[in-house]
Amino acid sequence: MANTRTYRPRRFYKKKTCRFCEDKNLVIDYKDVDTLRNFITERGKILPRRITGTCSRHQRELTRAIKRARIMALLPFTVHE
Amino acid sequence: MNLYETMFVVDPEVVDETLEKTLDKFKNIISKDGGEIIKVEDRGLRNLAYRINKKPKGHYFLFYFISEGSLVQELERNMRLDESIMRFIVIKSDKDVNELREAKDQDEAKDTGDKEEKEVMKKGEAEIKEAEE
Repeated sequence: MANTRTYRPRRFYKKKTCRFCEDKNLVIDYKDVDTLRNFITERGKILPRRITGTCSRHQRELTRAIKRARIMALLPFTVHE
Repeated sequence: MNLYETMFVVDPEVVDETLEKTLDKFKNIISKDGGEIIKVEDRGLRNLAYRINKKPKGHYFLFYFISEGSLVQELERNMRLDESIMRFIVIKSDKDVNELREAKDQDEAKDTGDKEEKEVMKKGEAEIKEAEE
């Protein structure tokens, strides 16, 4: 009774890598809306690291850039349906 | 001395003349206290991600300048006071000054190139007209 969980084969994922570490030429800039859009949901929320695979340093920079872009009305704070 | 960049959104209903005045005002504020403007970018009228003061659009401008940090406060204060400025941001830029300068020179060279081309076009058109007459 203690262990009712059935055995499930573990799925294998391809390890996501940080896009900004891979390509050093990519810079995170609040003015670059097209790039930032890849890291927010349709509702305008910032996507978590576990989904995008960004490293912590670049996630921090991304967050800052997205927030700056929001202030400048380049990106939405929220998108209402 | 640091390199700063400031982006601001101007009310799209502001007429050209006042717009010029506003821009000149900020340029003067920067250059007055030993600051140097490196580059001015007109990013044009674009749709806002959300409405500001019930307006769906805004005119974006981007300045790069070198100055002491104290000037930033002065600039921000003036931007807050100006009612035609809908949003502004001043941040320390990590761009390379020399690169910006070069880019600016190239832009200017391109501009004059366009002008020359236009003049040539005009001449050509005038000749055609003459020939027709």
